Amino acid sequence: MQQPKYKSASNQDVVDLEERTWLAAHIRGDQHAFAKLMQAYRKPVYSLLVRYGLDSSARDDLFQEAFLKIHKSAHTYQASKPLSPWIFTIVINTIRNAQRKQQPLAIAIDETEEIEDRQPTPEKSAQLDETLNWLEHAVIQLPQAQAEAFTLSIVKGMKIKEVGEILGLPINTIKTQLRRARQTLLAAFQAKKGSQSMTSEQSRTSARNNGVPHE
Amino acid sequence: MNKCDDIRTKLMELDFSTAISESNIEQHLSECESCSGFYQDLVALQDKVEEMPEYDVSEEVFTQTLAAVQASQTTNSNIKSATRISQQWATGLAASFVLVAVAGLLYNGSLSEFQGDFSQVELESKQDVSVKNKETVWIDPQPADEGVTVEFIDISEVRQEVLAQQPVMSRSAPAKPNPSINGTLSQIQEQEMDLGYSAGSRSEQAAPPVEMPEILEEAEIESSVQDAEPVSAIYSDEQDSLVEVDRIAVTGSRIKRTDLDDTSAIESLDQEKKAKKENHPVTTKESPQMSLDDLLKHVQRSATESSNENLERESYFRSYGKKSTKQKPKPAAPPEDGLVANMPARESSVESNDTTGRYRREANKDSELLAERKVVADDSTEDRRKGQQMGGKGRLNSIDLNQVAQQYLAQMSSTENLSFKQATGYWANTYVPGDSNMRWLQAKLQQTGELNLPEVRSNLQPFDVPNNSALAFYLNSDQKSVTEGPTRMRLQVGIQAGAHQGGHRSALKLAVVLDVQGSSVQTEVKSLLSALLKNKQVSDQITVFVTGNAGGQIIKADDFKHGPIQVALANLSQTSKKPHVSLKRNMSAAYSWLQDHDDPNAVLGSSAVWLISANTSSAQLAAIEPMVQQQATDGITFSSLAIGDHPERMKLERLALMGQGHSRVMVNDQDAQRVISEELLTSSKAVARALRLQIKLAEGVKLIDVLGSYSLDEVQAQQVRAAEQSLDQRMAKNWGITADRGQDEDGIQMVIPSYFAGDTHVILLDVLVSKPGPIAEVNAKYKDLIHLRNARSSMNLEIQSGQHEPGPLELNVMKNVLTYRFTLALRQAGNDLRSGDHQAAINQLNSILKIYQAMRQKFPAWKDDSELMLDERAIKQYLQLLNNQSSIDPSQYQLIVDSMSLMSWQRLLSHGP
Repeated sequence: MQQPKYKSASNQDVVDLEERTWLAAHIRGDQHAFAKLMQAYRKPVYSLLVRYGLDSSARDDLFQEAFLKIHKSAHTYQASKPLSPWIFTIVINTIRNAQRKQQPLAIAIDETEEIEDRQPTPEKSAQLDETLNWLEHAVIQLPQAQAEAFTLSIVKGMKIKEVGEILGLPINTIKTQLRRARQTLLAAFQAKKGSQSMTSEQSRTSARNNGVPHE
Repeated sequence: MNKCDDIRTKLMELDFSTAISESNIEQHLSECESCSGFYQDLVALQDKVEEMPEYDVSEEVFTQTLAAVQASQTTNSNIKSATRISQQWATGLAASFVLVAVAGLLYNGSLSEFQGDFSQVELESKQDVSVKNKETVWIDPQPADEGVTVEFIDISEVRQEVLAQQPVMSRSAPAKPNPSINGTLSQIQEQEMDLGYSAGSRSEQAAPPVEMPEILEEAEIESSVQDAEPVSAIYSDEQDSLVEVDRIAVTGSRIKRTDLDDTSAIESLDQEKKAKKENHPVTTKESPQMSLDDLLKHVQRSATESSNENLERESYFRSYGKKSTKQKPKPAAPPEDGLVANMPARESSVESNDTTGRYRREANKDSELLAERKVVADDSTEDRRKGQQMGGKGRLNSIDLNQVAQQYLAQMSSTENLSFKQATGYWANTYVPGDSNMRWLQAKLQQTGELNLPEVRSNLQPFDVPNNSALAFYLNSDQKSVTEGPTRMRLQVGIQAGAHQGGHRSALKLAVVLDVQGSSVQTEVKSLLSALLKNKQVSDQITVFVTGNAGGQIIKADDFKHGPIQVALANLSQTSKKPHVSLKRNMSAAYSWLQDHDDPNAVLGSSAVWLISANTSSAQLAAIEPMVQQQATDGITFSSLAIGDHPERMKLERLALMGQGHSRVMVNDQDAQRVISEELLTSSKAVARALRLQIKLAEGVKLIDVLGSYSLDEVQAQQVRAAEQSLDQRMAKNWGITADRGQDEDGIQMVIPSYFAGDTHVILLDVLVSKPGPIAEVNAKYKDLIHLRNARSSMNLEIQSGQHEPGPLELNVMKNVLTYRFTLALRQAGNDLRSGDHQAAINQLNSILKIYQAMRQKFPAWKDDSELMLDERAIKQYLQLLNNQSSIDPSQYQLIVDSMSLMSWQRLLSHGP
């Protein structure tokens, strides 16, 4: 499931003006247009769902639901504005609706995974460090408002203003959420860095005391 | 809250991707170890965040979702029906409207007038059909006049009216009282040749212009309707839509008058065609498996390759003869080229004795050619004397040369074992001015005076500069007529820019990023900044960032003065405790600074980042590629400047192309002023932007290749689209030129981001034509920076049936194809030489020399062609150098190779800033 790189994908950072024409082409009946859109947004959307801490079946359902909503709302998109904030507004609303309707859906982390991660072996811990899972877990364990702001801010190079528009919050609020999220993540990072110098047993103990998210 | 807490709070709110711009934070970080560590942790965390993996949905879910959407799209009318009226309603409405209209007309008694209008419509449409070739200039309405109807001016119609009224356009009365249009045209052409161009300029005739008889006017106007047999017609911006000879006469084409004389003396193509039938089985049955596509991609890449690369290349033309494999021939082996493999090794004595031919050229370009012509004439005697030395076996008698010419023409028209390409999609732009690698080679060659290297120059094209637009386009082929059945030909799309420049440059917001750490180029950097300061205008804002330990923004915009520059440069060499700032971080900071200071109303290119690099690594350059491209689409251009012999010049070039800027090379500190002046004036030299060429081949015409180009893949095409739309929107915003891009078109598409004043460029296509008639249509649209409007131009090419001798325009295309071969041969010879295969290089040069000599003998119009003679002279110079190898220092071989690379690159291209 994991892809090797996130930001360094070839065209990930490129503001593609062409994508603004996809929905218009889709409305006109171009069958390839929506496929292009889905192909371009499948990873960002799914990554967002993953970082919301949803289990895999819920992620799949919401992925499908979100794109169906995009399809149905295509005529409301204005091509003069960027596409990605419009898409992520729909995705966020879809997630929130689902969370409201099905409270059990909003499980923070898949239960089995959480149990496994509570007592990682030294090998597992080392592996987690290597694969940056500690950061993923730290993001998931952020308060929802912070997690939303932070996750959106790293998706497709979204700007603070756009994140604010998606979440319907003022820019200053988004800045505050981002600052708090960074503080939490920095604490986790510093704790992890400190724990690397200890032995594996000491590392577990130390990390637990410092509140490393996945411990 | 103590100071550290305050600083940490600020750090927490900083954009991680940019360098610290506040001096108090920077100062505190350099003093406080704890906060510095905190900052480093933040940066490291940001790096980790950037490395976070991306998750992907399973293919199954993706497919299901897509299928659900498509099912919904087809079954559910939610999208379309919401915006459409049902068919019944539409029919009812239409019927009601017609009833009301007819009732109204009956009531007013004006139905007969209404019917009369319909008859007019039919007549007009007939006339429209008759005008097969239109030049249309589309003028945008002013933004404030939204209600104004957009004007479409059909210039060909206007010209017809004007032509009918202009007595000067009439040449003479037709010989027959009621001639057919073909007869009339041919008479005009013949008389034009007889009267005008063989003996002198038109003004020298002293004959008063004769009124054009009415019958002739009518015949011309109705020509396309009545003509059963299509006339070879070539049209463009600056061409008249009636006859070729008029176009030549009126527009002052640079085609030599002697060419027109010589057309009557040109040998019939019948002989070539016969020869083709005799010869081509030998040369084509062994036609190679080598893909021309691969080869030409290779050639395209190699046009900008570093001279140190040792790549094997196979000649495009040699591929017709036999599969070209890289073999080191023995010194005594015959030339590899199939054309001359069987030629007896004799000495060439075929040179033109006619050095008194008169050249009547117009415009300043002609005087250049005239000067060259004189040089060649002076040198021809010497060349003849030296001919014996060239290659040792270069002298052929006229019979042998004729055989070489026939074989060459047979190869060029071979129709067997061809592979075809899709004439659709995006193709690589071949107009790439400012090649930094070639600039470097040129500078290197200029510094050496020890070797007698041939002079490098561009190939001039016989295109007239446009008068009423920024660009003029020309569409020609190398054959005037074809017979039924497959015929191979070359099409040429020519682009000529006007001499006027766009204007003075606007105020510049420039972020200079210096990446010179660890190199000893302080003098060059100092010269560059001094030159920049010298050329700085009052309204310019220039800031400087530096990578490395003392990195960051070292000179702010307000401090870009002599004193602060000197201080900042002095500090560069000192050690500092300040945190290391990477290139990527500096670039982010530079872009942030520009975004903060960006004026949305400023002209495109007024916000720019310049990377001045001495030794930036490939990985560092690759890391900033996405950023550069994104910012270019947002309107901030990126240019690169390599100091000295930079190891990554190609990467810098690539970055500059992505950033819609230029890549330059500064040879030494004395070169700084030139580089800065050129770069600063670049924006004012562009006359057209976002030039989109659409080349549509007619039915039955197959594309063999676009010489020197290659088809872009989807990712590359997407980048081209993004860049084009970015330009489109930016220019709509800045200058009110309506945005009109965003959709792909049929046929071959090529997008040229900027076209510069005075430049000429040709695109050559190799095609297979099945029958006479329409061959190709070229549509061009671009942002005209002279008139600030969207401009469009269309050209059609039709070829008549039969067998006609090539005229001057056809010969020009043939000459360009021959020159293309020359460039490939030079490149191949250079590669052979680089790989140590001395004899193969000599063979290459001998082969192309013989073809040149043969072709010049074959076509009398080429006998005194100065450009071909200069090419021959260059080949002989190279041969002389290679044959006198004992007197050449082995280290100087590199110079010869560089010279060959430069010449092969520069022969067909013309260069902008």
